[in-house]
Amino acid sequence: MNKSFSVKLTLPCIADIELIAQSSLDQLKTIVGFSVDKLDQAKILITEAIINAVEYRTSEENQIFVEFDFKKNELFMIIRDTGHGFTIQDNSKSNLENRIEHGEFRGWGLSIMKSLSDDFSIESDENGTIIRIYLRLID
Amino acid sequence: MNSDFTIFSKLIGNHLVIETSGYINIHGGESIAKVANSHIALGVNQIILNLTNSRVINSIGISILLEIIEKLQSVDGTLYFTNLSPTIEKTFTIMGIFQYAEKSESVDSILQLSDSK
Repeated sequence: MNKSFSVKLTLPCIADIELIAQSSLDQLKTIVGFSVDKLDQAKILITEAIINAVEYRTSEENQIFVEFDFKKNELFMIIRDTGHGFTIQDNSKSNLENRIEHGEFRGWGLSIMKSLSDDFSIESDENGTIIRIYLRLID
Repeated sequence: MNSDFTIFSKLIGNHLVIETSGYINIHGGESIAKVANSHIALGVNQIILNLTNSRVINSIGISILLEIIEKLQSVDGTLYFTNLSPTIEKTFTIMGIFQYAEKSESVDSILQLSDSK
């Protein structure tokens, strides 16, 4: 499909809600027609963004606003939440050896999103967080 | 809300083979850890994780796999990953997981390599 279009989801800020976004991508794949590998990438990217929103929620009343924008062979994903935000730390240079040594196994989400996307940005303050992810749907 | 995660395991020689299906989140990761830890406690230190039917994993699921790797290191063991999707393989590579765990094309290739040693 060459036509550009958007799909918007408003999700409650509860555990496992990323499954809804994953299912949406499954359906969108059948409409847009991209590869299974790109679907996997998109699913992992949206999953990390959403579990980040759930982690920094102020309550389950918070909402997560997800937007999928398809333009030709490109996917833009915007994930915005109304949580309390967080200090963005670049952990990508913290190697696994150090982490295993200190028993720090968490905190890979931002590194994964940066590495699997073709472009990534994040802004966070006390009013929430917005993540923008760009993914090319053909190599 | 439930994902479609399922887990199956069997002992082949001194290798525990764990095969999963579906999304590996905290629940999936904990299911894998439960099976792995119960066998490590019995002396098994070679574990093969076959991810043929798991194409999506999140960072919490990965963190649980790292705990298994750490536990296996403490008993001179090895975690092997097989049948990784390109995206999961890329994710693990980014994180440096293959410095501490092995990867292979198939379960059989690991077992054959083990037999030849």
